[in-house]
Amino acid sequence: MVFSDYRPYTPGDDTRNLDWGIYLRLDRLILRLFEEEADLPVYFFVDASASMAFGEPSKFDFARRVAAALAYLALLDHDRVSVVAWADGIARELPVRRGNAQTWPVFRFLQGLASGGRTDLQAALRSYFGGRRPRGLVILLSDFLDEGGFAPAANFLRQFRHEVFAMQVLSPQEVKPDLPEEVVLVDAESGVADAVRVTPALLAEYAEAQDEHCREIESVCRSGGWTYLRARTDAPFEELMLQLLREQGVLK
Amino acid sequence: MNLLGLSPVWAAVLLIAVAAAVIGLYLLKPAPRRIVIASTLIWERVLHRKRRDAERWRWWQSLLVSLLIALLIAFAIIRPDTGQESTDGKRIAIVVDNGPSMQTLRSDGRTRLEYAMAEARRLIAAGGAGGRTKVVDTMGTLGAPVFEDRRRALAELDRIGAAARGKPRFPETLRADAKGDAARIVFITDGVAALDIPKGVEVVSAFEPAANVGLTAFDVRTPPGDPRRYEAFVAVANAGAAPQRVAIAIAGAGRAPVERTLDVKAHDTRALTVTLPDFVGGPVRASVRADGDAFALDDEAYAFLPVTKVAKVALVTPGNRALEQALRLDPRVVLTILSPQQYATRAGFDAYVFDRFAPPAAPAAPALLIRPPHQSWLPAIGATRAAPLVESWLDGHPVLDNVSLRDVQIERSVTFRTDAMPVIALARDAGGAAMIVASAAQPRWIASGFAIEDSNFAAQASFPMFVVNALAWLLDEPPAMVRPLGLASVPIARARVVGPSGYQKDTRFVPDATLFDADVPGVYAAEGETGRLRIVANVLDPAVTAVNASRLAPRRSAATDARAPANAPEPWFVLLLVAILLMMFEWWTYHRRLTL
Repeated sequence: MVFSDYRPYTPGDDTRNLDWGIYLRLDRLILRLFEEEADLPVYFFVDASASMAFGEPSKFDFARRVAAALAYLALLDHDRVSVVAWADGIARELPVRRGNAQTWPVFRFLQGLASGGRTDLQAALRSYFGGRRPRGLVILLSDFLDEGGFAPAANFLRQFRHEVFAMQVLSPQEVKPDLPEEVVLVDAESGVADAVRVTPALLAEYAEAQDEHCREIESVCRSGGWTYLRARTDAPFEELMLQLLREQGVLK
Repeated sequence: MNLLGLSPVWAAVLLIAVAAAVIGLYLLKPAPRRIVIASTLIWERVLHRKRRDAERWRWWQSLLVSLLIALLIAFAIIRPDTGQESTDGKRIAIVVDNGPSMQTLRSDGRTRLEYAMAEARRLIAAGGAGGRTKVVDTMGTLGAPVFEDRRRALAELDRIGAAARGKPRFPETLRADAKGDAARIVFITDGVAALDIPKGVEVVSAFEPAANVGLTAFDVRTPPGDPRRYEAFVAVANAGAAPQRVAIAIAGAGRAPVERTLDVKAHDTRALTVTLPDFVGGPVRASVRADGDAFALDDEAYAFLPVTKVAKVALVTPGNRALEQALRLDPRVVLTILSPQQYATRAGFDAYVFDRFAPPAAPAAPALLIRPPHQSWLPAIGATRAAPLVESWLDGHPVLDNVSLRDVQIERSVTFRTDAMPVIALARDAGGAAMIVASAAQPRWIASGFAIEDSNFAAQASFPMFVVNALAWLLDEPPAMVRPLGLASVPIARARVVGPSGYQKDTRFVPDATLFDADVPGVYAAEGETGRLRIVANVLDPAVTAVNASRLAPRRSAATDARAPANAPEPWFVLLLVAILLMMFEWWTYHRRLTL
């Protein structure tokens, strides 16, 4: 508890905080105000679905690196760090860690994660936040390739009034795919195959659809007052950490 | 079906091998690469959008094609008419001359009839889909036609064939139409047949002058008194406008053709007699060849020679020098003279001549009987006449061919009663009684009521001819009947008739005769229970050969300029065809998922 300010007493205020010295000197009832400096729960939600294994480097590796960097900063700041790997539910969970001494356990946990399974963010959020969790910062690292869509999951999360930072991880291969003319595309998660005749026109349409998808995710985030960041795995990591996170207000 | 000379098994093996090769090549086609991506979520969106756009386009395309098909079928059903070449709804009667001269070739390689048919088709097409047309021919092939639509009229037209014989006639049924204004009558003819064409009939000429050389007469006969030699009489007419060198060939069965060349002036006829050495009988064919001959129907003619063979003849007589000499004159006869007493002891003869004798039973071979006594197998003998005159005789009968009985003086003769037995009375006296009779029943016989010694017949020039004719009639196949082309009658009841091609002809039976259609020149054989007969059918008609005797000037017909092509399909057919093609297109696009 750290003193922060004074204000005049109003009936109903806790009389235990009256500054009796001032009352004696000035004959006025002044209330002392204190700020309680609580440690912030930070929930790292790392997408470990099969789609995250795509790309070179893989989106999953990229997401883990980002999570590790941010977790390190949080631990330095004495925040309570939780790390959750999720796919169509909670894949693995690192219980709350606090203090910089927990840096390596967090890193080891992240290193030990493996990708696999289908993406179902809503199921994962329901599973994790279904129990009582203190309000905090949710850092969501995912490609958001969720058949159920992002909006239902976001709506679910919004009710807990967490602060949310969503990072959409994109690989350059999926932003600008290099495909032969005749190809059967196989979904890494569902195994569904689609025979596609790749033409420049189709690629242009794909790029448009990809952009549209990203805009949808961003729109959902912005509408909830969340922070959204789109990151390509081929972007320089330092630049991302130092500039983009700062620009987005994640780092101060 | 021809399979390139392969057996069905090898053909099947070849087909299976080809199919296997095609399937193998198809399987060798590389399959598209399978590439694993993070998610097909975005791709699904793109593809879904693309499919949705394609579906919309396919829906419209399918709708349009279906509408088009339905409209085309509907139009086809209501039989649209372009209105081109319409004859303003007026009915048209087309008369096609299909007489023999219409088989003449034109300079364009078509016959006059084919040209006329093409003209008729153009006229029918020009009438439009709603036009009503009556098609008639001059040979009565089509019966009694009526006004019909274009399709049926064309079908009727196709039934018209070239007639090889008969006289063309303008259809009587159209004379009434010609008087009224209800129908336009077009007569397409070469103008060779002299027809009574009613006024108001529009004549379209199919005539074009043509070269033609044809046989107008052909006969093969044995010279009188020499039945083993043949001579042919041939007459050749040149109906063309230029002189022609004509090659004549006369061919008999198994013999080398006898060939002659004859120069015939334009519009002239020449005849010649040709000796036919070594011809032994059977069918004989005469043919003519000339440059540019455009009419084939009159280029050949046929005859049939009865086979004359050497015959062993027994003369059974108490002694008759005149008869013996007459028989010895016949070169085919190997004569044996027997007395009546010897008759029973000798056999094996081809024919008998009984002089004042008749065996009690009919002989096994044909017989000529001179003043026979009464026997049961012979007709009953009537009254004996003194100095009778031969009043009448059947000079058309082969026995009396080239025989005259006018100057025969007879001292006495018996007559035969012909009422009880089916015999032919060859000669009758003034009272109508039969003096010479013949029986065609096998074996044949001829009986004379007067003896040689009782008349001056042996002193007549025709006596040896009578003997030769009698033996020929008794021994030989009867000479062939000569008939023009067309309906022929054979004096044989319920006969079976075989045509020149060897196929049996359709026949109709009338009492004591059989009718058949001698449609092509040649030798026909008729055979019934009462005998056998050859019929020779020929054109041999100068009027048929005269294919240029036309009253019409050669010209192009007005219908030639008709814009509608003769074989242009009708609009409904085109519409239906397009509808079917569109249905096939729709089927293809449906299976290619291009339409719904």
